[in-house]
Amino acid sequence: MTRHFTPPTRAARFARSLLAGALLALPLAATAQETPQYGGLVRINVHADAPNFDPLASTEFAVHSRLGLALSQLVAWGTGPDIAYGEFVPTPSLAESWEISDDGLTYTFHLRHDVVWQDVAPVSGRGFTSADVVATYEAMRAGGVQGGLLSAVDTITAPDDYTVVLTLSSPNVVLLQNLAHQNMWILPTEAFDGGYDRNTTVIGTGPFILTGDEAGVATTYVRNPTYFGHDAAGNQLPYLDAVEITPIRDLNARIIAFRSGQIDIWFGPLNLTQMAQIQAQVPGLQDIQTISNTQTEMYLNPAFEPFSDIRVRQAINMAIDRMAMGEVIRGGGAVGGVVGPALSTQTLPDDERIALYGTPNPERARELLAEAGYPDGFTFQFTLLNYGEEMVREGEWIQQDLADIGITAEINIVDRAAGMALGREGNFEALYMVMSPFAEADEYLSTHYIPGAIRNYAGVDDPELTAMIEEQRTIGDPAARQAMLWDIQRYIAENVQTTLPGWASLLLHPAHARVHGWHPMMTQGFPSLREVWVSE
Amino acid sequence: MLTFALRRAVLGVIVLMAVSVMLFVAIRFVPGDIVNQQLSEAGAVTPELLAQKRAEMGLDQPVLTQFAHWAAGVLHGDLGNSLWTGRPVSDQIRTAIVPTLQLSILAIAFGSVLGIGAGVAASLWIGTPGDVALRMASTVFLAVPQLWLGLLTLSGLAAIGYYIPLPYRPFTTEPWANVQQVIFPALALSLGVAAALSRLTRSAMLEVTGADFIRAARARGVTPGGIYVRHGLKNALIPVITLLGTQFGNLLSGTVIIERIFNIPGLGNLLFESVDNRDYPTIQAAVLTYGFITIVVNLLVDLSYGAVDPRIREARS
Repeated sequence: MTRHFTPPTRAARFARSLLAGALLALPLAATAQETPQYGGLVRINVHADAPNFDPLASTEFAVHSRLGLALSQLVAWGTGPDIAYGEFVPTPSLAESWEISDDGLTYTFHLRHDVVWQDVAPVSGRGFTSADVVATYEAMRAGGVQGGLLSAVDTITAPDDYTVVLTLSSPNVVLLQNLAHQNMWILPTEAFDGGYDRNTTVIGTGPFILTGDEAGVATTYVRNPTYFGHDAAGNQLPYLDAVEITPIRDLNARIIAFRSGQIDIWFGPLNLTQMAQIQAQVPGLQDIQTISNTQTEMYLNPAFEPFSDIRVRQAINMAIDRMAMGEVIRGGGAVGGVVGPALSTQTLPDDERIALYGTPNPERARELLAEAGYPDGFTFQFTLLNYGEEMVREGEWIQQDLADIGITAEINIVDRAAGMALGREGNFEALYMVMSPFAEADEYLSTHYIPGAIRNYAGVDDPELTAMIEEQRTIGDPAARQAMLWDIQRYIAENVQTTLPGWASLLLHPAHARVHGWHPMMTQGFPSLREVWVSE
Repeated sequence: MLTFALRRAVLGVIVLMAVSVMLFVAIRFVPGDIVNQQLSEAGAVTPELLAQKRAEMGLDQPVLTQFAHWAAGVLHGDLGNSLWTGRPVSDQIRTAIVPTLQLSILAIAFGSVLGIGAGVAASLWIGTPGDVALRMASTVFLAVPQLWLGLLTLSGLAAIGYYIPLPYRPFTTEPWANVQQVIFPALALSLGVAAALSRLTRSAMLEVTGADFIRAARARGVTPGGIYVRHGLKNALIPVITLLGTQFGNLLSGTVIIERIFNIPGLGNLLFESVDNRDYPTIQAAVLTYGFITIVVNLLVDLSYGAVDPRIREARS
């Protein structure tokens, strides 16, 4: 029997999010009972300018976070007070419903009839149709940076103006989430037939219209009066008149701008000490905290002789006291995992993850080193990507933990671009970096452990593991897939250990009291902004 | 004088060419490229896509070929397109240079007034507590990094409840907002310049005021103001002007950090981001621009010696 999508009720979502337990991050300010007001401007800081606005050209946060206000996907991440930060709840967006065939090979999407493109030339408010979806996905497959997200798709067809059918060469249960990915914005056909320049013009179906972008100054938006979205009471969304995204590179300047009220919603790194200082000066601040959607990871290159022995890799894993490191340096968060802890239903359960990665055992680590032929330890080059002060301190913490079992880590600090290049070239002994904000277990697994994959810096080539990773994509039953994902993570912990998870820090998302309905989500593009309103 | 200026201009062009070659090669030896950056957040990226992107940008070509293409473009007045934004680099430089020049000129003006004023005052008050205080202040501001001074200025203003307005506004559209945005970073930049100038001005003034022609001026009954300003300061200016030229170069490099702290979309910020993103054409153009400004300023400094000292003017003639 074909599976039909039915949006979950709020009660069901709430129950599920409670199960997410420790990862739940709900705003302290109760806003649900208040009546939203129309009007006003909200300003958000980001750390960088958008180089351009072509969603097919880069995966940069600075691009897609801005595009998210003006564009829409076929399927979206649900947002709201009862949905956890890392929880993917597939929600209708440009597609109002969909069906998946029994064999999992055909996805049929029924598009909304009431969607029109923003009134920007040359599209100028025409109706949205299936041709737009087909053109976008075909262009992505042909040369877009997000083409890999559609790698399972065999054909894309449009039987009529409001139906799109995707057929798959093999079942892939991750497809829906791939379609809701932060890079999967649907563009009009004119974007691909020379109608306009995607680098400079943004025409979408999203809640806001991009009206200006000045490097180093601001990206500005106004309400899209023809946006298709409505709130639960049937009111037209969005509530805000305007949004401004301001690039502020320096952290100190960002904090001062936020304190002064020149920024309403904070985005970016912030530690608890800085947060406490802000709270002391900003009355009624919303203190929204989540577990980060990224985590630190330590890559051990088996090409470096000591790391070719799994006992050495296990010894290093056992030497690092991640819990103390995370508490002292980051002020909170969670022990990392093969799949990051923000993916609460896919990562291993907390106790098991802590047993594997959060329970140091230096004695056993020394024994393993001796068994591997390194009773006196060894010296290695520890390349550290400079993501900021805390990252460096974590590196120094690990250096000290390893010194306790006789291993000398000589730290080399490099910038992000250099570090990633060294990783891809395999030109390192050990590499410590921050993982991308992956939103699905499959992204972690397929990028780290499939031969030739982009994050497989350690060159893992394990046919059994590859088969397991491919198999989990075909399991439609959520419980069975979760069991499979857990088995894969256990297998990696026992047999691979070339990528040691580090720490997923606490992520702080403060917002001023005048902002209501703000629910930060793991995915980029500020999806809850359409439901944000302000009181003066 | 014209021959001298032309000779210096030709030397300047040779320096710029040397800088271009060295930079072009050096930046390519740094690991990482723009493609890594553009696809840094991606999971589903294949090695084939990475290779395709590199080929589209010409990064798969030998360095010599890349340099030949770039140099040919520059000789035709085309600095190329940014690999990061896709926009013409010349447009980006043209936009970014305005706040940087505004900041630099303001800073050098503040620094000159403060530094030369403090130097003259210290030489007048020699041995007094005022002299000691000014010398101590100059030592402190020479030692303090511009980064720290910028952060301190920003935090200090916030502590007294004054917040610099955001975002950046050009002087032509919102002059008052622009003045507030530029004046404090310019002050932060200027203190280092002022400190260096004040020390040199003081010692130059002390040297000059002990000279025979000053004694002769005194004997002729010239007023103390006339002695110090018309005779003393004018003769002490040569080394000060030299230092001013080198300080302008230092100050330009300081804008890279100061612009970041104060969120000013200038050339420094552009260069910082370009290096971070490995946007080679923009890095090359920004560094060339910095080099060009430095060479022009030094040329002006050289020419100004003649204006200040007739002996130099005559020797060059």
